[in-house]
Amino acid sequence: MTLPVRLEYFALLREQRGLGAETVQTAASTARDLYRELASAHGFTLAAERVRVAINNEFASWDRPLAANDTIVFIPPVAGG
Amino acid sequence: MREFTSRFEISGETLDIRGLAASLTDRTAGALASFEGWVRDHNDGRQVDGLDYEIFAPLALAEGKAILDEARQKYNVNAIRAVHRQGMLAIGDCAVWVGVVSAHRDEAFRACRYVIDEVKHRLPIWKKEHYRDGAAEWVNCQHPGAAHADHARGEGHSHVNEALVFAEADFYARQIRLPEVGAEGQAKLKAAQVLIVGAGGLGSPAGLMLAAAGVGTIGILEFDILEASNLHRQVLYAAADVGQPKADMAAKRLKAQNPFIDVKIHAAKADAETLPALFGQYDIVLDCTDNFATKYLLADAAILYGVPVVQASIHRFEGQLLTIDPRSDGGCLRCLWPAPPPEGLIGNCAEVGVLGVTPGLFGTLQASEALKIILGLPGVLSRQLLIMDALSLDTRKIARSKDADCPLCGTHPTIHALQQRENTAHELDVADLTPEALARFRIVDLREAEERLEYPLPLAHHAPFTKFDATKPTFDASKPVLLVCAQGRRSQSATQQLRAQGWNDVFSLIGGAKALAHLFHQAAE
Repeated sequence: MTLPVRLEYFALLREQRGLGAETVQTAASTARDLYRELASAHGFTLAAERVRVAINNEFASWDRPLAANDTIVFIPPVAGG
Repeated sequence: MREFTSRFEISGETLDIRGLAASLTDRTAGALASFEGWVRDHNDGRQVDGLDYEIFAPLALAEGKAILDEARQKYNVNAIRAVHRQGMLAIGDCAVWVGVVSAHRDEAFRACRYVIDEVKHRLPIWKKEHYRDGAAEWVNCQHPGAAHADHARGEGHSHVNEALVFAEADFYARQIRLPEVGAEGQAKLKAAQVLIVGAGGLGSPAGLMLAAAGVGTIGILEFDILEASNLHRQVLYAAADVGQPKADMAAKRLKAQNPFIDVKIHAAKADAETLPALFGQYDIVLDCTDNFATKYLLADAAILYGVPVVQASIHRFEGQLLTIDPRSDGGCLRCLWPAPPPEGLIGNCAEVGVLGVTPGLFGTLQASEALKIILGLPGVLSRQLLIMDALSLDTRKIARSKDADCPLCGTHPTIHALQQRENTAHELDVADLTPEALARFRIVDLREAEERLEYPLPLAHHAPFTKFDATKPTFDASKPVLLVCAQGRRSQSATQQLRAQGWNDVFSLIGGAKALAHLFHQAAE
């Protein structure tokens, strides 16, 4: 069974994905599993431990189960000024 | 016989000094001390021909009378009279006269000194200096630093409400009109002290906006020299400033923007030694820096010293903004990302490039956060992180809260003091290396031939440490290189040597070949 989710990528992840947002069908049950899938598909260089995930405008644990139509944003820290 | 105990006047006529002194005649007095301020023929290195004094009379008369009453009470003198000239004066003319009579000379001298110092400090008087070269310039006569030593804040007059007179009140007229600001809010701004750490792309707009809004004290912590490549985004500076210390130029520019504020220069690095004292001096700190090490130091200091820090960070066209308010339950930077990533994994402005408007937007938002905090306005980002993409203009506010496991502000903190350096910039941990990240690097194995049998790295370039010479590397050090040895000590040493030669894309692997072999093993699974 797969779920439709909306994904948004910030900073380095946007560059490595090559786009800022997309809607995908995923079989992943948690945010961590989803990130792993994406990291291997798109060559993300940041480990999950260095990235934060926000689900529906709230920072969430990587273990949080996904629900249909969640908006999931992956946010690495940035430091430019 | 005089019929007054204190009188302050403004006069358009030449002062009759003998007549003024005579008016103070008093049979119970044993002393008359008087002061005359004259127009001299130079100021700030320029030859002056004359002065034109302009005084906002209603406020000057009220403030002048208040100063005289204070002095009479403070020093218990019999009577004081003071007159200030307005209009055109020539060299040698008397611009201000103060006379004090009292029973004994000591009080007379002291009261006289107090009056002239406070007049210089508090009166809304402007003078137009006419220079010998034909030019003329208006100069504000209110000298914030000219107050008498006996002068104390909150005594006799307020530095905030009443000091906002004439030109200064005009300055803020449009924002005072906002019910959310008003005279009371403007007074809070005047009393506020904000430290800007980093006078670059973020600090430039932040500083200008805070200065223009009338934040009374702005500190600039910056040690860099201005470079030409700074100018496209660091709008505090002019092209002619290149090569000058940024802190000095920034202070000059902010003072020119708003002469009524005080700008303090701290030409130092933000580190564990300088920050504790600075966090004790300021109400709010803006993190306008461009590297993780300093950002984490400032974020930690916010919690450790209880001072709100407004943090902005940029990556190409995107930015993040958050306010770490130690009084809120929104948590800190470490609640989001417990430790900084190794430098080199994310990239900075120098490496990835930046359009000036992006820090321009975020620096302005930092100033907005500071003003909201000072004015007590709602909406401070203390429980959210704002992310914005300047291209799509997509903006998100993501709710955050204190993490109970946070090493800094959680229930069992492990960080109790500022840490000078936590991860060496040129060391990488395998935890940070996904197979894709690893693919960026040329791996160079520094182990000797016999060592390589344990945890062999077949694809690595071999450069035994015993023959290693950082001035003549046997590999292309201009491309990303990851140096590996058995445990990470030799590779660290070699990395430092190579970086000293200017090869900045060289990294050392913590844990050496064993750690790397483990990573390959995982990837193969």
